[in-house]
Amino acid sequence: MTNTYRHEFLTALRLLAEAFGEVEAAGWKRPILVGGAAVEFYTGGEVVSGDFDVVTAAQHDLEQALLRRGFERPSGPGMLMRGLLHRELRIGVEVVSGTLFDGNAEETRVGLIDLGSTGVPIPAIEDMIADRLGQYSSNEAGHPEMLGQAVRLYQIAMSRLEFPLDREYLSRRIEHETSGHYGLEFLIERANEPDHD
Amino acid sequence: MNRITIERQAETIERWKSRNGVTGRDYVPVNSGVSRTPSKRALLRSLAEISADEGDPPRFYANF
Repeated sequence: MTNTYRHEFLTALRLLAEAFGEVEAAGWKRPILVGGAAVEFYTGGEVVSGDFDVVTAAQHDLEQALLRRGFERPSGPGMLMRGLLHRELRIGVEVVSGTLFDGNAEETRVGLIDLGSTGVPIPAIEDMIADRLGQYSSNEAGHPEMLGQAVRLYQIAMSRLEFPLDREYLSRRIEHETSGHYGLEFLIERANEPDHD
Repeated sequence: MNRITIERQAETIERWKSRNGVTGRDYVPVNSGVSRTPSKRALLRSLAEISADEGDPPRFYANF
Protein backbone atom coordinates (compact mmCIF):
# COMPACT_ATOMS: atom_id res chain seq x y z
CA MET A 1 0.00 0.00 0.00
CA THR A 2 1.19 3.48 -0.84
CA ASN A 3 2.46 5.88 1.82
CA THR A 4 1.46 8.88 -0.28
CA TYR A 5 -1.75 9.16 1.71
CA ARG A 6 -2.15 9.26 5.46
CA HIS A 7 -3.76 6.29 7.17
CA GLU A 8 -6.77 8.24 8.46
CA PHE A 9 -7.56 9.50 4.98
CA LEU A 10 -7.59 6.03 3.45
CA THR A 11 -9.61 4.55 6.30
CA ALA A 12 -12.16 7.35 6.05
CA LEU A 13 -12.46 6.80 2.31
CA ARG A 14 -13.36 3.16 2.91
CA LEU A 15 -15.95 4.05 5.53
CA LEU A 16 -17.44 6.63 3.19
CA ALA A 17 -17.55 4.11 0.36
CA GLU A 18 -19.52 1.71 2.54
CA ALA A 19 -21.93 4.43 3.58
CA PHE A 20 -22.30 5.68 0.00
CA GLY A 21 -23.16 2.14 -1.05
CA GLU A 22 -25.91 2.03 1.53
CA VAL A 23 -27.32 5.33 0.28
CA GLU A 24 -27.25 4.09 -3.30
CA ALA A 25 -28.94 0.84 -2.32
CA ALA A 26 -31.77 2.91 -0.84
CA GLY A 27 -32.43 4.34 -4.30
CA TRP A 28 -30.44 7.58 -4.21
CA LYS A 29 -27.62 8.65 -6.48
CA ARG A 30 -24.26 7.75 -5.02
CA PRO A 31 -22.90 10.75 -3.07
CA ILE A 32 -19.79 12.59 -4.34
CA LEU A 33 -16.73 13.65 -2.37
CA VAL A 34 -15.80 17.30 -3.01
CA GLY A 35 -13.78 20.10 -1.38
CA GLY A 36 -10.46 19.77 0.38
CA ALA A 37 -10.62 15.99 0.66
CA ALA A 38 -10.98 15.72 -3.11
CA VAL A 39 -7.96 18.01 -3.48
CA GLU A 40 -6.09 15.80 -1.01
CA PHE A 41 -6.85 12.73 -3.12
CA TYR A 42 -5.71 14.35 -6.35
CA THR A 43 -2.56 15.94 -4.89
CA GLY A 44 -1.54 13.75 -1.95
CA GLY A 45 -0.97 16.99 -0.07
CA GLU A 46 -2.39 17.63 3.35
CA VAL A 47 -4.71 20.44 2.29
CA VAL A 48 -6.73 20.54 5.44
CA SER A 49 -8.46 18.12 5.60
CA GLY A 50 -10.14 17.59 8.88
CA ASP A 51 -13.40 17.17 7.16
CA PHE A 52 -14.83 15.52 4.11
CA ASP A 53 -17.38 17.57 2.16
CA VAL A 54 -20.03 15.53 0.42
CA VAL A 55 -22.65 16.32 -2.21
CA THR A 56 -25.85 14.35 -1.90
CA ALA A 57 -29.58 14.88 -1.85
CA ALA A 58 -29.82 12.09 0.72
CA GLN A 59 -28.37 13.81 3.76
CA HIS A 60 -30.50 11.92 6.28
CA ASP A 61 -29.77 8.50 4.78
CA LEU A 62 -26.06 9.25 4.55
CA GLU A 63 -25.87 10.44 8.14
CA GLN A 64 -27.66 7.32 9.35
CA ALA A 65 -25.21 5.15 7.39
CA LEU A 66 -22.26 7.03 8.88
CA LEU A 67 -23.65 6.84 12.42
CA ARG A 68 -23.68 3.05 11.99
CA ARG A 69 -19.97 3.21 11.12
CA GLY A 70 -18.55 4.96 14.14
CA PHE A 71 -19.37 8.56 13.33
CA GLU A 72 -21.18 10.72 15.88
CA ARG A 73 -22.76 14.13 16.12
CA PRO A 74 -20.58 16.80 17.73
CA SER A 75 -21.77 17.80 21.17
CA GLY A 76 -21.16 20.71 23.46
CA PRO A 77 -22.62 24.07 24.38
CA GLY A 78 -23.70 26.11 21.40
CA MET A 79 -22.66 23.38 18.99
CA LEU A 80 -24.23 23.62 15.59
CA MET A 81 -25.48 20.22 14.60
CA ARG A 82 -24.47 20.02 10.99
CA GLY A 83 -21.92 17.38 10.20
CA LEU A 84 -20.65 14.27 11.90
CA LEU A 85 -17.25 13.37 13.25
CA HIS A 86 -15.26 10.19 13.76
CA ARG A 87 -13.53 10.35 17.13
CA GLU A 88 -10.79 7.81 16.36
CA LEU A 89 -9.93 9.04 12.87
CA ARG A 90 -10.41 12.73 13.86
CA ILE A 91 -12.24 13.33 10.62
CA GLY A 92 -15.57 15.05 10.06
CA VAL A 93 -18.12 14.69 7.30
CA GLU A 94 -20.47 17.43 6.19
CA VAL A 95 -23.07 17.50 3.42
CA VAL A 96 -22.46 20.81 1.68
CA SER A 97 -24.91 20.63 -1.21
CA GLY A 98 -27.45 18.48 -2.94
CA THR A 99 -26.10 19.29 -6.41
CA LEU A 100 -22.58 19.04 -7.79
CA PHE A 101 -21.22 22.55 -8.45
CA ASP A 102 -24.76 23.90 -8.75
CA GLY A 103 -25.36 21.68 -11.75
CA ASN A 104 -22.57 23.27 -13.78
CA ALA A 105 -20.27 20.23 -13.88
CA GLU A 106 -20.90 17.46 -16.38
CA GLU A 107 -21.82 14.52 -14.18
CA THR A 108 -20.66 12.04 -16.83
CA ARG A 109 -17.15 13.22 -16.02
CA VAL A 110 -17.38 12.28 -12.35
CA GLY A 111 -14.67 9.76 -11.56
CA LEU A 112 -14.48 6.98 -9.02
CA ILE A 113 -11.79 6.45 -6.42
CA ASP A 114 -11.47 2.73 -7.01
CA LEU A 115 -11.29 0.83 -3.74
CA GLY A 116 -11.73 -2.61 -5.22
CA SER A 117 -15.27 -3.82 -4.83
CA THR A 118 -16.43 -0.34 -3.90
CA GLY A 119 -15.50 3.27 -4.49
CA VAL A 120 -16.00 6.95 -3.80
CA PRO A 121 -17.18 9.25 -6.61
CA ILE A 122 -15.09 12.37 -7.05
CA PRO A 123 -15.42 15.33 -9.46
CA ALA A 124 -13.25 15.40 -12.56
CA ILE A 125 -9.95 17.12 -11.87
CA GLU A 126 -10.94 19.81 -14.40
CA ASP A 127 -13.93 20.67 -12.22
CA MET A 128 -11.79 20.76 -9.08
CA ILE A 129 -9.31 23.14 -10.74
CA ALA A 130 -12.13 25.40 -11.90
CA ASP A 131 -13.74 25.32 -8.46
CA ARG A 132 -10.52 26.43 -6.79
CA LEU A 133 -10.04 29.23 -9.32
CA GLY A 134 -13.63 30.27 -8.82
CA GLN A 135 -13.05 30.63 -5.09
CA TYR A 136 -9.84 32.55 -5.77
CA SER A 137 -11.62 34.84 -8.19
CA SER A 138 -14.37 35.62 -5.70
CA ASN A 139 -11.90 36.94 -3.13
CA GLU A 140 -8.32 37.11 -4.33
CA ALA A 141 -7.00 38.70 -1.15
CA GLY A 142 -8.80 36.20 1.04
CA HIS A 143 -8.09 33.08 -0.97
CA PRO A 144 -4.55 33.15 -2.39
CA GLU A 145 -4.26 29.49 -1.37
CA MET A 146 -7.01 28.57 -3.82
CA LEU A 147 -4.85 29.71 -6.72
CA GLY A 148 -2.02 27.65 -5.29
CA GLN A 149 -4.25 24.59 -5.05
CA ALA A 150 -5.47 25.07 -8.63
CA VAL A 151 -1.87 25.28 -9.84
CA ARG A 152 -0.87 22.09 -8.02
CA LEU A 153 -3.92 20.24 -9.31
CA TYR A 154 -3.08 21.34 -12.84
CA GLN A 155 0.59 20.41 -12.56
CA ILE A 156 -0.18 16.96 -11.19
CA ALA A 157 -2.93 16.41 -13.76
CA MET A 158 -0.35 17.07 -16.46
CA SER A 159 1.68 14.14 -15.06
CA ARG A 160 -1.15 11.66 -15.51
CA LEU A 161 -0.51 8.90 -17.99
CA GLU A 162 -4.17 7.94 -18.16
CA PHE A 163 -7.17 10.26 -18.32
CA PRO A 164 -5.35 13.19 -19.94
CA LEU A 165 -6.59 16.65 -19.08
CA ASP A 166 -9.45 17.88 -21.27
CA ARG A 167 -8.24 21.39 -21.97
CA GLU A 168 -11.37 22.50 -23.78
CA TYR A 169 -13.60 21.46 -20.89
CA LEU A 170 -11.20 22.92 -18.34
CA SER A 171 -11.11 26.24 -20.19
CA ARG A 172 -14.90 26.38 -20.34
CA ARG A 173 -15.29 25.52 -16.68
CA ILE A 174 -12.70 28.08 -15.54
CA GLU A 175 -14.41 30.82 -17.47
CA HIS A 176 -17.75 29.86 -15.97
CA GLU A 177 -16.57 29.52 -12.36
CA THR A 178 -14.64 32.81 -12.50
CA SER A 179 -17.41 34.65 -14.39
CA GLY A 180 -14.98 35.26 -17.21
CA HIS A 181 -12.32 36.91 -15.05
CA TYR A 182 -9.79 34.16 -15.70
CA GLY A 183 -9.06 31.61 -18.37
CA LEU A 184 -6.87 28.59 -18.94
CA GLU A 185 -3.95 30.73 -20.12
CA PHE A 186 -3.79 32.47 -16.75
CA LEU A 187 -3.55 29.11 -15.00
CA ILE A 188 -0.85 27.84 -17.36
CA GLU A 189 1.18 31.01 -16.88
CA ARG A 190 1.02 30.66 -13.11
CA ALA A 191 1.85 26.96 -13.27
CA ASN A 192 4.98 27.75 -15.28
CA GLU A 193 6.26 30.39 -12.89
CA PRO A 194 9.41 29.35 -10.97
CA ASP A 195 7.66 29.70 -7.61
CA HIS A 196 5.29 26.93 -8.59
CA ASP A 197 7.93 24.47 -9.87
CA MET B 1 -16.82 6.59 -15.30
CA ASN B 2 -13.06 6.91 -14.94
CA ARG B 3 -11.85 4.59 -12.17
CA ILE B 4 -8.77 5.87 -10.37
CA THR B 5 -7.03 3.53 -7.97
CA ILE B 6 -5.20 4.82 -4.91
CA GLU B 7 -2.03 3.20 -6.21
CA ARG B 8 -2.28 4.75 -9.68
CA GLN B 9 -2.97 8.23 -8.32
CA ALA B 10 -0.08 7.85 -5.88
CA GLU B 11 2.18 6.93 -8.82
CA THR B 12 1.09 10.08 -10.65
CA ILE B 13 1.79 12.24 -7.61
CA GLU B 14 5.16 10.62 -6.92
CA ARG B 15 6.11 11.01 -10.60
CA TRP B 16 5.33 14.73 -10.44
CA LYS B 17 7.18 15.13 -7.12
CA SER B 18 10.23 13.31 -8.44
CA ARG B 19 10.39 15.39 -11.61
CA ASN B 20 10.11 18.62 -9.66
CA GLY B 21 12.23 17.81 -6.63
CA VAL B 22 9.26 18.06 -4.29
CA THR B 23 9.33 16.26 -0.93
CA GLY B 24 7.04 15.99 2.07
CA ARG B 25 3.33 16.71 2.07
CA ASP B 26 3.25 20.50 2.47
CA TYR B 27 3.49 21.39 -1.21
CA VAL B 28 -0.20 22.28 -1.45
CA PRO B 29 -1.35 25.51 0.26
CA VAL B 30 -3.65 24.90 3.22
CA ASN B 31 -7.14 26.42 3.16
CA SER B 32 -7.15 29.85 4.79
CA GLY B 33 -10.51 29.19 6.41
CA VAL B 34 -11.71 32.72 5.58
CA SER B 35 -14.97 31.51 4.07
CA ARG B 36 -15.73 28.63 6.41
CA THR B 37 -19.31 28.38 7.56
CA PRO B 38 -20.02 28.50 11.31
CA SER B 39 -20.95 24.82 11.27
CA LYS B 40 -17.67 23.91 9.55
CA ARG B 41 -15.73 25.91 12.10
CA ALA B 42 -17.59 24.15 14.89
CA LEU B 43 -16.90 20.74 13.39
CA LEU B 44 -13.18 21.41 13.03
CA ARG B 45 -13.03 22.88 16.53
CA SER B 46 -14.64 19.71 17.91
CA LEU B 47 -12.05 17.56 16.18
CA ALA B 48 -9.22 19.70 17.53
CA GLU B 49 -10.67 19.54 21.04
CA ILE B 50 -10.82 15.75 20.91
CA SER B 51 -7.12 15.70 20.07
CA ALA B 52 -6.37 18.17 22.87
CA ASP B 53 -8.44 16.23 25.42
CA GLU B 54 -6.52 13.07 24.62
CA GLY B 55 -3.15 14.82 24.63
CA ASP B 56 -2.56 14.17 20.95
CA PRO B 57 -1.17 16.67 18.47
CA PRO B 58 -3.73 17.93 15.95
CA ARG B 59 -3.95 15.68 12.91
CA PHE B 60 -4.63 18.54 10.55
CA TYR B 61 -3.96 22.21 10.30
CA ALA B 62 -6.96 24.48 10.01
CA ASN B 63 -7.98 27.98 10.96
CA PHE B 64 -11.31 28.00 12.75
